[in-house]
Amino acid sequence: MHSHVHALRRCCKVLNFSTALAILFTVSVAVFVLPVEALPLLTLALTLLLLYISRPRELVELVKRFALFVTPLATASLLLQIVIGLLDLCQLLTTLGRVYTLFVASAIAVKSFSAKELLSLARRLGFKAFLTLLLAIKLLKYSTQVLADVRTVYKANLRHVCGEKSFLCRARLTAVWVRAFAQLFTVKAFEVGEAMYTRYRAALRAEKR
Amino acid sequence: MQGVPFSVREGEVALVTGPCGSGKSTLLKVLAGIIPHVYTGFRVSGTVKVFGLSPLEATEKGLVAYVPQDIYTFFIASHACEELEVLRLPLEGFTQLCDRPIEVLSDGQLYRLLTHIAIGSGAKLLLLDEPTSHLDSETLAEVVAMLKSAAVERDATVIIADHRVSELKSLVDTVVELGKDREESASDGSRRAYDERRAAECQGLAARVKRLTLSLDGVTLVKGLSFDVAKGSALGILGRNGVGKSTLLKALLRLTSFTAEGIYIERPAFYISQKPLYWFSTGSVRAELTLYAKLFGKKAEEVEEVAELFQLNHLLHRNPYTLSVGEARRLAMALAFIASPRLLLFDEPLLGLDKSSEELFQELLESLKKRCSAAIIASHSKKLVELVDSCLELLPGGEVRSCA
Repeated sequence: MHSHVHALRRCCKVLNFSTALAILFTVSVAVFVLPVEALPLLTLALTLLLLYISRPRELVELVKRFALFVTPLATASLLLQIVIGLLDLCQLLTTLGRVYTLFVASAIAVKSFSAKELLSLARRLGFKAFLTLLLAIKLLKYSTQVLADVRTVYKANLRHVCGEKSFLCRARLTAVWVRAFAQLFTVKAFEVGEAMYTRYRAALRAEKR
Repeated sequence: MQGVPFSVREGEVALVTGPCGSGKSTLLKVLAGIIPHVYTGFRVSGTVKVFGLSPLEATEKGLVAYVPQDIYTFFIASHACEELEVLRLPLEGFTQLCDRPIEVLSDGQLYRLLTHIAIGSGAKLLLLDEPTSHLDSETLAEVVAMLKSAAVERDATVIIADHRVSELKSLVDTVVELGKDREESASDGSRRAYDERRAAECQGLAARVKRLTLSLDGVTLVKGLSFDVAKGSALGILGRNGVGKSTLLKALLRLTSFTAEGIYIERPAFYISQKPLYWFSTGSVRAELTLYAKLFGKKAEEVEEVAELFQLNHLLHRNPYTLSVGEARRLAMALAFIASPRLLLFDEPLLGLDKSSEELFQELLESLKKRCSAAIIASHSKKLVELVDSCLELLPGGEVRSCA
C-alpha cells in the first residue's frame, strides 16, 4: 500500500505539507510588512515554486482563474479612482501584486495538501483548530473546482444569449453565474460539514491508533 | 416528513424508498446526526435511537458510516490510495485508480470507493443514499453483495435510500415506503399534454462527429469515434462507470481538449451536467424559472405552465439548493424546456428520478423531437436503451459498439 503512495509522490514533486503551510503563513505576513520594492521578488519566487510542484499548464490555469476573480474588481477600482480624480496606478499594482502573491501561496498549500500530514498535525492542534484548518483548505480547494464546474455549465447554456447585444447584457450574465457560484460554494461548505461529522472523527481515531 | 415510525434490526438490509422529495435523504441525515447538528434549520421531534444512542453520539463513536448522494466533497485526501492509506484500509480493488486525483474519477468510481471505506471503517450501521443512481448494474450487484456480506459476517445493519425498488427489492430484507400519497398526486399532474405543434419534417443533422479521440490523464477514453445525430432524434451514450461518457459530452461542447477530424453540433445547445448537480443562481424555483423565461424571451405566464408540467408547482417558493436530487433534475429539465435548444446534452438523466419523473424526462425528449431538436444522453443505466432512438456503448479502452 505504501509503495503506491510513495510512487505517486515521486512522480509529482510534492512539497512537504507543513512547509507549504509555513510558507503560506509567512507570505501572509510578508506581503504587508516587506517594502514594496521587494514584492516583485517574492512574487517571482513563489511563482517559480508553484511551477516546480505543478505543470506549466496548471500555472496558466491558475493565472486565468486569478484574472477572472480580480479583473472586475481591479476595473471597478480603476474607474472609481478616475471618477474621484485620485488615480494612483502604483497603489493599484501593489494591491494586485499582494493579492496575486497570496493567491499563489494558497495554491501551493492546496497543491501540497496531504491528508496524512494534516491528521498528524491534528494531534498537536486540537480538534477544533484542526477542523477550522481543514475546512479552510478544503473550501479553498473546492472554490476553484466549483468555479470551473459552474462556468462550464453557464458557458454551454447561456453564452449565446447576449450575442451581439450590449456590454450590460454580458455583465448581467456574469452576475448570474457568479451568484450561482456563491450559492453552490455555500452548499459545498455544508457538505464539508457533513463529511466532518461523519468521517473525520473516524479518520482521527484511525490516526491515533 | 411527519410520523415516520420505523425500526431495523441488527444485521438487516433495509431499503427506504419513495418518490423524489419524500424525505429519503433527510431520513438518512437524521440517522447520521447531520440533521439537526449541521443543518440547524430542521426540527426533529420524536425519538431517534441508533444502537440505543442519539444519532450524533453513535456517529462520534464510529458506529455509523454515511455515503451521501452528492459525493464529491466527502474525501479527505487528494488521491484514492492516499484516502485508503489515511484510513488504514487495504488498497485491494483500487490499485488502478491510485495515481488519479479524486477530481477526475467518475461518479460511480467515487461512490464505490466511499462504500468500500464505509464497510471497512467497521461501522455497525451503514447508510447509503441512492446507490442505483451512481452505479451501473454490474457494480451495483457487486456493492450490494459486499454490503450483504458485511451484514451477515459482522452483524452490520444497512439502510439504503433509493427510489428504484425493482432493482433492489430482491437484494434487501425489508422495504420502508415514504410519501406514497405524494407520488400518486404528483403523477396525475404530469399527464398533461406538451406542445403539440409539429414542425415540418425534420431534415439534416443536429450533430456529426468524425474520428474523435479523447483521453484523460493519459487514459484513452474514446478512439476514433464517429457518429451522426439526425434532427428530431435522440442518441444514447451508454457505458459503465468511468468509461468517459461525461468527458465525451464536454468534448462535444468544446469544454475539454480532444483530437478529431471534425465535430459539428447544432447551436444553441443546452447542457445538463452531472457535476455539479446544482447550478442554480436564484433564491427560489419561481425566480429561476422566471430568469430563464426572461433570458430566452418567453412570456412570464409560461412559468406557471412549465412549473405544472414538471411537477414543480408545489416547490415554487423553495430555494433550489434545498431540493432533493430528483427535484433538482426536474428543475434542470424545466429550464431546458424553456431554453428550447436545438440540441440537448444530458448527463445521467435518470439520476435521482422516480418513475413519474422518468415519464417527464421521456415527455421532454418527445417535445424536443417534435420541434426538430435532438438530444444526446449519457447514462450508465441500461434503461437508456428504451428511451432513445439509437445508442452507442463506450467500452473500457476506447472501443465503441452499438448497444445490444
